[in-house]
Amino acid sequence: MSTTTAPVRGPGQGTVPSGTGTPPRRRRTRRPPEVRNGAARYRAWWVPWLWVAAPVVVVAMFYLFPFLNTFFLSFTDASPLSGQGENVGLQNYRDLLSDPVFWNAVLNSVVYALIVVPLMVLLPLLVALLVRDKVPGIGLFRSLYYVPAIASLVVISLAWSAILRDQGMVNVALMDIGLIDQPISFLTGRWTLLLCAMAVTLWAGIPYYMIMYLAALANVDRSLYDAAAVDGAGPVRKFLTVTVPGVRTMMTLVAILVTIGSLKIFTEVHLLSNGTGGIGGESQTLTMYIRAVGLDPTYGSLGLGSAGAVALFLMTIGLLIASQRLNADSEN
Amino acid sequence: MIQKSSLSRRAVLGSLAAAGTLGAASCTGASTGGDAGGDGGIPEPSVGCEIPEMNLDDSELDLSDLSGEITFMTQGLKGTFDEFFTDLIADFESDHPGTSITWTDQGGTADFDTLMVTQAGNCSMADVINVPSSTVLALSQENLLLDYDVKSPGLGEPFVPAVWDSIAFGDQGHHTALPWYFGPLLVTYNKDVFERAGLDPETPPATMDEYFEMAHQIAAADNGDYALYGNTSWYLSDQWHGMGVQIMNEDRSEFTFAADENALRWMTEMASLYAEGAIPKDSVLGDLDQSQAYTEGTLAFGTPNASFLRTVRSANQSVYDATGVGRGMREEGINPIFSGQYIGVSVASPNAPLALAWAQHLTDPAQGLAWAQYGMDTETAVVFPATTEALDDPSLAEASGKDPMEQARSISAEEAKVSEAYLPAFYLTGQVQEALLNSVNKAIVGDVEPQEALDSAQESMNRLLQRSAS
Repeated sequence: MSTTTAPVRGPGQGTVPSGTGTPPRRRRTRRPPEVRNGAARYRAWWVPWLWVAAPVVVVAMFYLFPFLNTFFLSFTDASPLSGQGENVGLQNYRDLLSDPVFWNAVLNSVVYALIVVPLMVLLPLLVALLVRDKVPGIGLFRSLYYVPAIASLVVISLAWSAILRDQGMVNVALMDIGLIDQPISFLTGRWTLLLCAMAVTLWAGIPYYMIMYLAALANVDRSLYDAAAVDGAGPVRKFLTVTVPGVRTMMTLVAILVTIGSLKIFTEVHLLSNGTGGIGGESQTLTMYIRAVGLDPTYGSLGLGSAGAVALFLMTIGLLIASQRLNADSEN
Repeated sequence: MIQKSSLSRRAVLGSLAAAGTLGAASCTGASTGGDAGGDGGIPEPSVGCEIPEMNLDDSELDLSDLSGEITFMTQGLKGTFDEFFTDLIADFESDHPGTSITWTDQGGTADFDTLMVTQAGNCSMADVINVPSSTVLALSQENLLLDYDVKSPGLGEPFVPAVWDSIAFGDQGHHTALPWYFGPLLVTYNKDVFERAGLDPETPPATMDEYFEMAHQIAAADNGDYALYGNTSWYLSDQWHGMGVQIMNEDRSEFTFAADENALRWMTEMASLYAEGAIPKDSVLGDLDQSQAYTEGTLAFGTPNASFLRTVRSANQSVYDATGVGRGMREEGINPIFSGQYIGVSVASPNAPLALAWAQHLTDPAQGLAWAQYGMDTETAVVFPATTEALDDPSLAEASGKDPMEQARSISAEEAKVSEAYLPAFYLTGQVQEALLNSVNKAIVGDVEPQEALDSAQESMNRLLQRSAS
C-alpha cells in the first residue's frame, strides 16, 4: 500500500531573499524518505518473490519440467516401463518420419483442426448474437445452451456413440421416415468417424465459447449499430463491419485455444471408435498415436512417443504463428 | 509498432500455451541411466530408484519372521469380491501378527496397463501385483519382478506343470509370476437363434469348421439375426489356436501366421460372413465384451468368457435362459488356453519377504479353491485356480442343473485340467495386437484382400517385435 505524505521541508531549504540580484543558487533537493506504515514497514525484499514462488513452482513442475524432460527423452531409447534409456541421437525422429501411421495421424489431426477451428470461431459468435438480446426468459435459454459445456466430454461422446451406431437413434429415425434403406455406418468410415467426432467437439464447445463472445459483445458500442443502420447497412454488413471488428481480439483468442485443442484431440475419436481409431486405425489422431507408442509396456518406446509429442508441439507452434501472421496481415 | 508489440505478446502467449500442449501430451519418464547387475546375477532394473540388495542377491528370502506393511493391487476385483479379499487379508494378518496389507484395485485393462507403466517408472508399484497377461511379459523382461527361482526355489511345485513350465519370462528363463486364476474360453450361444436358423439348439460347434458352417446358415436364414460379433479382440488368438495356426516361430523371434493356410481360411471366412450380413457392421469396432450385444437376443454366439454370463443374466433373463454352453472349439490334439491372471512381487519392494509370503498364500491350493468356490456361491465368476491339487477337487466340476452358469462351470472345470499357457498369446498385446486387429478389421469389412491383410499385419508386428528386442 502506497503512502502519500505532505512535502517535508528539509534543513537549509528556506526561500531565497528577493532583490539580491543574484540568481538563486540551485540546490540539490533530497528526495523525501518514504514513510511506510503497517505491514509494509516490515516487508523484506524477498516478500514479492515469495508471492510468485508458488505459481513459478507449479509452472516449473507441471509445464517446464515435462516439456524439457519430453524433449530430452525424444533423443533416447527409453522404455515406457523404466523411463531410462541411452542417447540415440535423431533416430526416433527418423523412425517417426518414416512411419506411415504417424503421417496418417498427422493428416487426421490437421484436417480436424482445419475444419473445427473456423467453425468453432464463427458458430459460437452467431449463437451469442442470437441470445444476447435481453428478452424475458433469455437467462433460461442461455443456461440451457450452456449445458453441453458443463457435461463430461466422456459422457457426451458415449451418448453420441449410442446415438450414431447402426441401430442408434439417427439411423432408426432416417429409416423410419424412409430416407435410407440400410443404416449409415457413421462410426466405421474413416472420414465419417472424424466428422462425427468433430460434431461432438462443436456441440460441446460452442456453448463455452458463446459465453466468451457474450462478454466480448457486451463491450461493443451499440451506437455503432445505430450509425451503421443510418448508413443503410443490413444485418450481414453490420455483422462484418461492427460485430467482427468489435470482437476481433476474442476471435483470435478463441482461434488459438481451439487450434491447440483440435491438434490435441483425443477423447471424442477414442470413445467413438472404442479406442481403435476406426477401421484399420485410419482415424487415429496424433495424441492417440503418441499414447499408443509411448505407453505400450511391451512394444512401446518412450523415446519415440516423446518425439511424437515434440512434433505435436512444433505443429501447434507452427499453426499458431501462421494464424498470428494472417491476423496481423489482415489488421494491417 | 504497437501492432508488432501486441503480436509479439500474443505469440509468446501462444507459445506458452503450446508448451503446455507438449507438457500435456508428453510421456512420463525420468533421466537416462543404465543397468547394473546384482550380486546374485539377478539383473538390476533400469529405474530411477534404489533396489533393495536382498531382492537382487543370490540368497533365499527368509519367510519365517514376517512383519511390516505391504500394498497389494488387483485388477477389476473391488466392488464384486470385496468380502472375499477383506476376509482373506484379515485372516493372514491375524496369522502373522505385526503385518499389514493394504489392498487397492484398478479397473479396466488399458487403464491398468497405463497405471503400471507410470508406477514402474517411478518405483511406486504395489509390493504384490495382480499382473494380467498383457503386462507380465513386459514387466519380466524389464526385470521389474522378483526372481522366484532365486528368492524362493520350489515355489512352482503346486502349479499345473504345463502352465508353470511355460511362463518362465524372467532373465535366464527364471520365473517371475505365479499363475493365479483363469477362466477357459467356451462357446456360449443363443438356442432360439439356432432354432430360427434351422440348427440343432442342443449341438454347439465343436470345431471352427462347424462354427463357420453354422454362421453361414444363420446368415442365409435372413431373419434379422446375426451370427457373430465383429470385435475379434477377445477370441481371435483363441480361434487361431483352435485351428492350429502357427502364430509365431518356435523361438518366438518372429510372427509367421501370414503363410499359414488356416489363418487365411479364418480371414476369408470372416470377410465372407461380414459380406453376407452375419456380423453387425458396427460391432467390428464394438465393445470388447459382446455380452451387451448378445443380450439383445439376435446374436447367435455370445461371450467366450463364462464369467460374463452374469452380465447376460442381469440384462435379459430370457436370453440367459435360452443360452447354451459348449467347450471351446478346437481341432483334435489341441489343448485349451490358460488365459488368466498372475501374481508378481515388485523387485523394488522394501518388504519382499512379506510380499512373497502373501503372494504364495494367495495362490496356494486352499486359497485358490476358496476363490473359485466363492465365485460359484455368489454366482459372480467362473474362475479356476492353477494348482494341481485344487483343480483335482471334485467340487469344482459339480453342476446342479441346466443353468448356463452351472454348465459353464462344469465344462470349464474339465477344460481347466488340460489347459496350457499358449505363449504367442503373451506377445499379442499392445501395439502388436493393434496392428493385427487393424489389418484384420480392414479385411473383414472388405477394404483389403485377406492375404494382403495378413501380410501387412505380420510385417508391422515383426517390426515392433524386433524393436522391442533390440
